[in-house]
Amino acid sequence: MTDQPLRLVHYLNQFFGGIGGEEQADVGVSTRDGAVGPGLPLQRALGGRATVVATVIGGDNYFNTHLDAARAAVVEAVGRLKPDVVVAGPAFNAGRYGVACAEACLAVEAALDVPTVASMYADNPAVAIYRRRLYITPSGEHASSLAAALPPLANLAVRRGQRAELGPAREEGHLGRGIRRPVFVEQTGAERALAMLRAKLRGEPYVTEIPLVDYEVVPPAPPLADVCAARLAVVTTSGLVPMGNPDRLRRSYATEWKKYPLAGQERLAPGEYEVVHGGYEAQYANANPNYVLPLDALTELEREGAYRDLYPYFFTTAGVGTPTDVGERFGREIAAELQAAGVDGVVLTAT
Amino acid sequence: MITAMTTFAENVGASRIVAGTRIQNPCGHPALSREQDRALRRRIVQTALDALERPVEGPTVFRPERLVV
Amino acid sequence: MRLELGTFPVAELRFGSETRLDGARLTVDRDAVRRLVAEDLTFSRVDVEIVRPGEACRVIHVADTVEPRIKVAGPGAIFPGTLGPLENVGAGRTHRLSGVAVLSSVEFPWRRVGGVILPTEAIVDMSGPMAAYTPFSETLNLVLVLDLQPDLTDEEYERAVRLAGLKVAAYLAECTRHLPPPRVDVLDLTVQDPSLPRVVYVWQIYSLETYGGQYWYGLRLDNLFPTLIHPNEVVDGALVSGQHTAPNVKHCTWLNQNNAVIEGLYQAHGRDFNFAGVILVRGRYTTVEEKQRVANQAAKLAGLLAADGALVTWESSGNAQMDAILIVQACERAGIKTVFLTTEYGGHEGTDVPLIYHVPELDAIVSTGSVDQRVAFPPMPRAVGGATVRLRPEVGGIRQSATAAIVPDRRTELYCSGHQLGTGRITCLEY
Repeated sequence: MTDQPLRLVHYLNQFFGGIGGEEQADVGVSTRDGAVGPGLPLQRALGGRATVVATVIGGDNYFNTHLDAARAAVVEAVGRLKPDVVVAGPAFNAGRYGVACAEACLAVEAALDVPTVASMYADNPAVAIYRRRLYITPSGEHASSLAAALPPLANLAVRRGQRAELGPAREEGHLGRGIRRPVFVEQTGAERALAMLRAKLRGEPYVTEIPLVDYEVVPPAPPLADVCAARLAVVTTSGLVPMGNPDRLRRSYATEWKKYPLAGQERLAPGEYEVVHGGYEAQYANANPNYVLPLDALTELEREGAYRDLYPYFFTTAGVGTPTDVGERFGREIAAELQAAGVDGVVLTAT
Repeated sequence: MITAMTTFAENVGASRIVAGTRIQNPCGHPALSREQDRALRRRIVQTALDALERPVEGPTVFRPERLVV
Repeated sequence: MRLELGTFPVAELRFGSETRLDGARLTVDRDAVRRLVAEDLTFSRVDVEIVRPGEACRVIHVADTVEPRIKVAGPGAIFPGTLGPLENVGAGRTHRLSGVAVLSSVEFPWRRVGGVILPTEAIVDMSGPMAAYTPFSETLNLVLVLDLQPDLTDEEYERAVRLAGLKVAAYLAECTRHLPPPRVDVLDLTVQDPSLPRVVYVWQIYSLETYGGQYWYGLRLDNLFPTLIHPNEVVDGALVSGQHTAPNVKHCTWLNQNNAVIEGLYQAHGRDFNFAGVILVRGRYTTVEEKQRVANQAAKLAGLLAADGALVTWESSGNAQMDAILIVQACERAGIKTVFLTTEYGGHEGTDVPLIYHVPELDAIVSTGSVDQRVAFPPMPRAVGGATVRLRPEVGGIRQSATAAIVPDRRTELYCSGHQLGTGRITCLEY
């Protein structure tokens, strides 16, 4: 570790950069020597650990309407300065400013491999979008909270500039990038639970150890105009496979889905199929595979004209321990195949 | 989607959810007679076909009518 | 129900000509243990080994772990209904040997493919990177290495193995019968301070079928309806594990005996809370209605105990988490402030969703770590219990050397690493 102070470049918007207010929000990217505006107290917070060598200023509107050009301009400006770390904000609760800070940081990291830290209010809309890709330290909602926002920003900037291996978010002072890792701590789970209950019963503050997460909302597909005219396909996450599991489908943490022919069967026969799912009692489906893939009912209904025809393959995987993004990939891949085959609707059985 | 875990499916945002029988046998029940079991399975699949034709605004659970056992 | 629990800490374990405790040194008559277990002709062969914390060895085919305990005064005997006669326990005086565990190692036969009912390989490393994930890298372990006679039923195998561990545990503790314990804790909930809030512990266990059971006074709990138990009964071994299908997340007998939530509530009794009681429920039901019914009943029992607060833990994995979350929700809706102890998912990298189900009432959660993150057992010079481990049941089983590096599919094989009783210090933090 060198004794020289780290070289730090500070990104600000047009207002904090001293160019002007909202009316100057379309201004492009410029550079000023040394620290500007909030960069001055930032320098004091950094002390001798780092020097604000320059300030890069961009208009909030410009950044949001000319994203590629703005990114390129920031990269060019920072590239010339060769800093050890780039700091952006604090953007407080200003959404466009938050986005600009985040985009500036991402561009610099990608193009120049320079570490960055941004600062903004935890509920700034940019946080939800960018938190997983950036280190963001918290600030208050308004500019009046600047003084309190600077120490965590300065400290993490120094750590990032030193390319130190970072510890948990709560130790490093940032909002967290949504990566949860196992850690051994001092107190047992039971001790922490009793302490948490004590606080909860007394009405004292406590911090839950697992924040609740919202799933992405997927808008429903529009309904079929006439299911009698529809081609359907059947998909299952029950882990149903031909007997012997010929493709060695995994019973958990699926990495792939498989497709098997229905081959004109009217129902699935026991002894020809088996379940390789690791998460439920398989004997019922093993004895009668139609419980998880209702081919007998589908055949009957097709004969009666309830729908036009059934895609002659079924899609299967074992739905246990499947990460969300892997499940999404499966869905996209299967959907692509179904669309190419003219399938209108899917019956999906989940165990 | 046919599943016994309808509240799961609603929680994660599946749009058209047909209430299945049990986790391990979503389409039918081994305790029923052969005829009743097949009739239940048919009813569940029919409900799925009906659901495909229905417009929905968010996670919606469709329940097959109770079989008279 | 007043129980005096006398603890004899054990710091050294070795074989010798007789079973005796000298200070903190436990000597074990190896042949006597062997004969005791071999009385049961279910076993074609019985070996007895010792493994110690820090040793470069691993134990494979781990079935159960039991802490040596006996009752020296009061009604009933240890492990009632399984080993002891069917009589209520939880009063009088019980002795325990702490820091030592009886570990049974046996390879149950695989007689079907797929599903959750397969007994699964289970491994304990006494040193190295995987050691910290299990409590049994820190206990001196007397290992019963068992071979099974062929052509008997699963029920016979499971019962014989369960009894073997309990028998040896009681046998070891017997040598303390006339010794004064260095420490005695009094476990007594008779006196309740009306100025303190009342807290219940809702303990969800899982029990299903031969290799998936928990036993209460010898009764397998597949059909357990939410009920009230006294924590002292569990201290006296009334809850015994016969669970072999999900070794990473199960509550082995030792974890039942040493339930950290019960211990913590006893310590807090009369100081921060009144420990109002323990509600035992089964989870992992396969319909939403059954899950909801249990949740409603548990909350009702907590209300009947006039609970102000509740701690909820669960056993197993997957949709059983939903059963437990519904209990939390039902309690909160009944005005009972609840804290939930749980492992989390999150995928291999910890970036995926941590819980499988979300309700707004889940606002106080303690994380006991992730069960999704990849683990790998390093090569280990010595393996106790056999020469090979058996992985990947869904393809009929793949055997590999027990002393080589082992990369399990999931963490299933990492014995008692993902339990939710809060004994350990592992959690997840955001990075």
